[in-house]
This record gives sequence, C-alpha cells and structure tokens, in this order.
Amino acid sequence: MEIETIVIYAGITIFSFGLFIISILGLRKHRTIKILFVTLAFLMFFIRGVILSLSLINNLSKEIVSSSFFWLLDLIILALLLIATIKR
Amino acid sequence: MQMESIVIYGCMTIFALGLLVVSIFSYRKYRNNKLIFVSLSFLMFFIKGVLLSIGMFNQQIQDLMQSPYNGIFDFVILTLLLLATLKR
Amino acid sequence: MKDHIDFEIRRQIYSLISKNPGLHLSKIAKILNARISHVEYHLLYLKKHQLIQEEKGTGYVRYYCKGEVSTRNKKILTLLQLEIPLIIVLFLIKNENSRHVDILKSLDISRSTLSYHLKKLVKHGYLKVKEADGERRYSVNNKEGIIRLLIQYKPYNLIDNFRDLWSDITLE
Repeated sequence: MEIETIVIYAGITIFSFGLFIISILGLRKHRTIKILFVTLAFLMFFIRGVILSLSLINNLSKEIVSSSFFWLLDLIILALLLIATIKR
Repeated sequence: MQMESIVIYGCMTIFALGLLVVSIFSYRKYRNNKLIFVSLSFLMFFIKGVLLSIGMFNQQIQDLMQSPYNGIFDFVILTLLLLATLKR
Repeated sequence: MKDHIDFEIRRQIYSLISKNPGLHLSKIAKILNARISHVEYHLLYLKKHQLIQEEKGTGYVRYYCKGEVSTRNKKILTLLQLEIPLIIVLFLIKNENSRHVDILKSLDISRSTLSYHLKKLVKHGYLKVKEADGERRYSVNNKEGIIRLLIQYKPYNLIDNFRDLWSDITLE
C-alpha cells in the first residue's frame, strides 16, 4: 500500500464530500432540479471515493474496483451532469 | 473485450466530450474564470474516457488505467471542480 | 445593438433579483461587476415597468420581483426568441410610429429581411400598423405587456443554462 495511493484516495473522498456539501447548500438556496442532479453526481463521486479507500484494506472492494461496475459509476456521474446541463 | 466495457467507455467519452464542448462555448461567451476550471475538469474526464477506450486495444494503457494511479485523474477532476465552486 | 445590450443587462438584473430577493443596489452592482450608476438606471427602468418593487429598511433600499410569467405568455414570446425580430421590437419600443425607412436606417439588416420580419410580426400581432400621409408606421402592440414578458422570461439556451448551473453552485 503506497503512501501516494492513500493520499490520492483520501483526497478523492474528502474533495468529493466537500463538493457534495457545497452542492447541497446550492440546492437549499436555489431549489432547482438541475442542482439536484449535480448533487447526486457528487454523491456518486463520494461513493466512488469510499469504495476506492476501502479497496486498500478490503478484498471485496478490490474486486469491485477491478470490475466494469466501477467504471459504470463514472458513466452515471457524467450522465447526471449532462442531464443537469440540458434540463430547462 | 466485454460488450458492457465498450458501451461504458464509449458513452463516457461521448458524454465528457459533449460537456467539454458546452463548457468551452459557455466560457467563450461569458469569460468567467469559474468556467475555465469546469472546462478543464471535463477535459480530464474526456482524456480518461479516451485512455479507457484505447486501453481495450493496448495492454500498457489498460494496466495503467487499472492501477491505483488512475485515481490521479479523479483527484485532479475533483480539485478543479472544487476550485470552480470556490471562484465567484 | 445598444437596445439589445440594455435589454440583456435588464434581464440579468431581473434574474439576479428573482434568485436573490432583497438585494440592494451596491450588491447588485458588485455581483454583476457593473457601475452603480448603470445599475441604478436599469433598476429605475424595471421599477417604471412594474417588474420590480423596492422596500426601504435598515439603511438600504432592497429590491424584489413582481409577478411571474404564465405558460400562455411564454408561447407569445416564441417569435421574439430570434435575434432579428427581437431587435426590431426593441427599436420600436423606443421609437413608436416608425416608418420602414426609419427602422432600416437604425438597424444593420437588409431591406428585404426587414420587410419579411415586419410582415411576420404584424401577422402574429406583435406590431400594429397605421397608415398616415400615405406611409405605413409601425408600433408595438401592448408595449407594456411585451416589455414585461421580455424581461421576465428568458428563453432556453444551453450555453446560458450551463453558466447559470455552475454559478449557483458556489461556496459563499
């Protein structure tokens, strides 16, 4: 377990959580469906970060990370951001 | 090469490209520094999608994208998005 | 062209107040990165056309929006989502009873294009025509109503949508 991997995965988890909180604040203020989609995208990012961090210590998470399901999370994130952009 | 991987990577690349194009046009119109960071994050998403797609034909790139170092992409994307939310 | 720019700025101010009711003048100017005198001029316009109201209190005058655009009225704006009909209407809002040649002198469009759009705008009821001294003079039909709709309702634009989305997700 290299130190840079731990730092990268921890950074992903913390930053995505920060973005999730910021988007929730935006959602509370503006109450638009578009921001809801962005919030969900950052939530998916956070889930991704948690799975990556857990993969350092847990074999099940390691299997998830090496499966195509893991990249599906990326696709879902992009799809949510795209919907947020297109939505009126 | 599994069918679902092709679909996921292909869609990721296309969605990221779409968001990148929209963000570039938006920046050109409004010259808002926030949008530079958002554009760069979608550029990183696009590069990631392209590398994943190429990785289906190139073992070296596939190994790189399967390694923990691919987390650097996510880390950079999240950093750029965080900087975007901090900018007015 | 200046009318178009003024109209866009007024729309931005209206949109900002609509999202953040109770803003005062200097805050609006700061957010839009505009001169206070400029913003004040546009706020006066919006107040004059009953689009915003002001409330005095705690040392500041604060601004709030008035009224919402109905779905029926949004449909009326369909033709005005195009640039040329919009600039013609904006010109006629300021210059009522203008002749074809007056409009042509002030706008950077060809004679045939102007004739085509004037015909369309009259046909759809945006403009009215008066014959005087053998000449046709054009004015906006229901001027106040059109002004309100133009300021209150922003037609869908993907690029603007994207910018607005990321503007709303800010830590402050």
